[in-house]
Amino acid sequence: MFRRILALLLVLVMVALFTASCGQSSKPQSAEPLVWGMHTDIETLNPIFTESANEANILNAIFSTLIKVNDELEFEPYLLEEMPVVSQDGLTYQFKLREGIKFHDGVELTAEDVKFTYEMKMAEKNAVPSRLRWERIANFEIIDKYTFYITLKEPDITWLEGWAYAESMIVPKHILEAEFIQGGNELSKGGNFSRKPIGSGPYRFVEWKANEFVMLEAFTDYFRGKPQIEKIVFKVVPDLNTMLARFSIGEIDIYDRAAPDHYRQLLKLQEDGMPIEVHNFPSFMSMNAIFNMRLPVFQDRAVRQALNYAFPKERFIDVVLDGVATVAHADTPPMSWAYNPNLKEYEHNPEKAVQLLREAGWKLGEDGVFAKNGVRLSFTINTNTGNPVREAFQEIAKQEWEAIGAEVFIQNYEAATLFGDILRNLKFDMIVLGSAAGIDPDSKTLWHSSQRPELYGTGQNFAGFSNQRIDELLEAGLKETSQEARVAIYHEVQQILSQEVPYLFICFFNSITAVPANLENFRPNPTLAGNAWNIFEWKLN
Amino acid sequence: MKSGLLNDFMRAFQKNRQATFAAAILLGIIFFAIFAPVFATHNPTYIRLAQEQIQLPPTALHLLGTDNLGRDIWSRMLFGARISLLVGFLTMLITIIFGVAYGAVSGYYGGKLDFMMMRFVDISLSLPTIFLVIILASFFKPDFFGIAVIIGLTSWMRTARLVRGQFLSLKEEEFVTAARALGYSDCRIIFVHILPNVRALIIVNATLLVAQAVLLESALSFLGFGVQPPQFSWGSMLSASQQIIFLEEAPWTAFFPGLAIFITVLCLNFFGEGLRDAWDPKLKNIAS
Amino acid sequence: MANRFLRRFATLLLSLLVISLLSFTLIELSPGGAMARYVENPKMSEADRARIAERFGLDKPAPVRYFIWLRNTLQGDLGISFMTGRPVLTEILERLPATLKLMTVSFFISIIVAIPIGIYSATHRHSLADNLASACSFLGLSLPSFWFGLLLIYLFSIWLGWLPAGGMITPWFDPAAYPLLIRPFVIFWEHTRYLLMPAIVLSLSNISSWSRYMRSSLLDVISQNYIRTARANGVPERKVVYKYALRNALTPLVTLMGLDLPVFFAGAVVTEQIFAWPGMGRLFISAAGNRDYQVLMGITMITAVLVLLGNLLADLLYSILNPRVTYEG
Repeated sequence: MFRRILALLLVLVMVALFTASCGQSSKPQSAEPLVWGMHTDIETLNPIFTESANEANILNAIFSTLIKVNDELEFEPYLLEEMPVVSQDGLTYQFKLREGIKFHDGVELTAEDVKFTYEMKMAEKNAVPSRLRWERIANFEIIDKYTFYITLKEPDITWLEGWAYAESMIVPKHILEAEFIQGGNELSKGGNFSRKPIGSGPYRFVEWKANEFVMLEAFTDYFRGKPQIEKIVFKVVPDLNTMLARFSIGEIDIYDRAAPDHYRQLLKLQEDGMPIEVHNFPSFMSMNAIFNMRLPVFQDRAVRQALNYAFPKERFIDVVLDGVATVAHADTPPMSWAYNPNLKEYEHNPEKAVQLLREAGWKLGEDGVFAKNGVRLSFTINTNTGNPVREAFQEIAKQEWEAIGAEVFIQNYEAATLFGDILRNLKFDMIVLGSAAGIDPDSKTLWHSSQRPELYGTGQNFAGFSNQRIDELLEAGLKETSQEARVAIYHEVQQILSQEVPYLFICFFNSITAVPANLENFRPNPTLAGNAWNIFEWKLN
Repeated sequence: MKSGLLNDFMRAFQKNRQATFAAAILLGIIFFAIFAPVFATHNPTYIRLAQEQIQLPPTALHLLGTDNLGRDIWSRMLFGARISLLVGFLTMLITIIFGVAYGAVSGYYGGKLDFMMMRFVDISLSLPTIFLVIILASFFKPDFFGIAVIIGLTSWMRTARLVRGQFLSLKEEEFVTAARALGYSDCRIIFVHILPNVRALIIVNATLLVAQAVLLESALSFLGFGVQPPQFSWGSMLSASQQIIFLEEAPWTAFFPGLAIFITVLCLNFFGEGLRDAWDPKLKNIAS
Repeated sequence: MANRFLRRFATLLLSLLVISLLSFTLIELSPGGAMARYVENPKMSEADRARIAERFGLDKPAPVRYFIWLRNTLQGDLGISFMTGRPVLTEILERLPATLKLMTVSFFISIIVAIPIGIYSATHRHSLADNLASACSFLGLSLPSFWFGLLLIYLFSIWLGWLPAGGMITPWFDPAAYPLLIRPFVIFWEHTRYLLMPAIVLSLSNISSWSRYMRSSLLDVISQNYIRTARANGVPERKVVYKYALRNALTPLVTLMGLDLPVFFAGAVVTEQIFAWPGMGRLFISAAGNRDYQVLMGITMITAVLVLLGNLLADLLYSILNPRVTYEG
């Protein structure tokens, strides 16, 4: 009987082994590919529907945009022969495409495809994430195979920039139109093209194994020459710690947008002799705490400034973000051409904070909390749950501000409630958020008095900021066409912002990317274009 | 009644050394948790925002080192114990109260009612409870009491089954017939006459439930769905430390909270098993 | 017997109905409701949101939506995922094999390890091995799986570098690159090395509880009258244990295994997260984070179906192994 049991166990072992071995094996590959680690799986490879930064990276390889924004924040024509010509009144743009650009199936890319892309973005039934920039188009006119005009409803200097990003990538009309019509004049986000895209970019699509990887191979007829790197794999690794671990053993080659606390570890790997290069550069992403200036307690500028003085921004960046950020004094990132390096700075000085409050007439009550005219220095900080950096901010702020005589509560909500209700309906006292600036320094929607949501239902002036000079400046900035004049305008805007501090401007995040040392032409790009913007010119030595 | 219970415990301890040892450790942990302010060396939430203060290894000043925000780990362990244990006990209470009542009613009345009630238990048992717990916890982001309720809502079934089984057999006993003859109300019979005979089963079950609840709460917190800051438990300490575990620099930040969970659950299990061993070995097969 | 299974099946259907109602209600009650995900994006205009609401049928009242969903489900359409726009069923079926693979291997490991340990412990009661096994079982049941997983990763991936830290397979693995003779071993090892740690972590608690249950069940049976009779009749000890006792001892274990099926899924959620295993558990967690309620309900329902089918199977096995035992309603 014992022998029978043994035999049975042996059978079970065999079954287990068999089960372990089965499952699809992936396509055989000959050369070892370049592996880029992604933090989450993508949702679609159709630029019409794209929303995420991860997708942008892959789409940069598969598709093309009309123009590109390079790492020095300059525009370059890409699919276009030259940068578009703008009419005097700022309404009409003339575009001319290069000739001989092919899609991966050999068909040439023409103005028809660009117009089709626009039509797909505007098609009513398509669940496009945002139509904002497309709705500004009044008229799209095709002149010939490679030339077309676009007329806007109103002049908008910031409009051109959008053509450089993933949402404006050109899709093939000859393939997608059929799918559109078949779907009853509707494209589905999960449709065929989303899973098997055809573009005009340097890499053609090979395979997408859901939640695992996307594999691409070089496109021979790419209009700027076949890329040197034969195969690229975008691999999904949802946990950043696992990503770091796999990067350190060479399973992942490119670790993009690393977690701030991995920076030191990456540097250490480099020191220990691993042949990598760690890029650390400022980005356009920032983190801020918004004061709700409609509340009595935040209407006093002394309070806002005092709270700025009492928060240790430098140390916060040093410890919580591992030094991988830059202190912010206003809303414009250091990389922008409009950045004003001479702003009012708030170094950590709790005594000065208390002094400011006293000078403004605040008195310390018996409960240890400042008060003035019946208003106590008491408020709640809100943010979304599940974000350790923001939560750390709250806990540090509470500790520091209570030490100078404030009363601070912490109340967090999950993202949907926070953005949908608390922010939108202005139910917060102070809210901690992240944001991404555009290349153009215009910030009317944030600071102009007409952009307070409670007035007309539009705008993102959540702080409730209202300053006549700012209004004047912002309006002038949008009308002005000379770069020099605009620099002066926005310098002054930032100056006022750093004085009035409608936000506690915390920091601009740095972007950390680690790549193999022998990867040539990798040039990190702080804009929404992402670091794969010039994937067509990468080379491995 | 009380002295009877105490005698039971004494008997258990004498028989089983492991249970005694485990109980001692448990009492120690509870003692430290209750008197956390006394034993803590620092303020558990005090952040030291300086590179020289964060992720320090265990030293004389910081017994278990500091975490990624410079907070003293030893003090955090003590206060975190409060939440972890509290959630565990609360969950157990909710589960026991509901499960026992349910099982008692079902077992005592029997027949069709019992049939229906047990069918509901069957259905509930086949629920993929972890999914429901995560959905509830992620949507409502509850405080520790809410978490206890959520976990409790998904744990009462086995208790109900056990108690029902006991009631089914016990209600045929003579003392029950006698009580009925004397005209006592059903409610009184259930709670005053039958229930005390089931107390051994319940206590064993309760102990094991606490263990289960502590594990589940820490798993939830680890995944990010459990207690939210500024509250913290051992599980969320582990979650926060997850980022640094791969730092060969500071593995202790993850090691100690996990160890604490492990030891607590281990002792609870030993204790529960020891009780079961001592009181009625026949319970072995059905009390889990 | 047919009657019994008919009843069981009816209970199964009822269970599924209750579960579906419960899941649906939960999601309705969640903050933000079904539109939650799109509310976050400030770039979307009101019109965009309305469009998406209509597309996913979110503008109808709750009970109507429930019945629409129920009807669709019965036809095999579990809706469309918010996150990817693909059918939920496709998303789940893509990941189901990975989870099943992990669970199956884990299941077999558990059986292969637990049963012999249990038998040995029972037959060599109170020996050193028995006590050791008992102690280890306690350890296994008390060890938090996520902590154990992290420790294993630290030990075997970071420190020793023997095993990969996560994932299921190397995308560029090419079996053709190896000579024919050793190819099967290479293929086997390639799959196994990713599977090893997650399967061990997942099996741990089951090995612990099953081995102890096996032991106590066997001990119980051995003390029965008919076993003593067999012994008295001179039947060799070995035959007594393995031929008579074991068979009867296995039956309650089978029931326990059936009851423990949900535990596998629960464990899989945590394990898949730690080891980046591309299964349903991980999909569930990301869906919970993204409030993709179609996916959440889909996974809950499919898991419930699998668990209930598993229980049915356990029942079947139980009655085969022990036809004499009457089924207790």
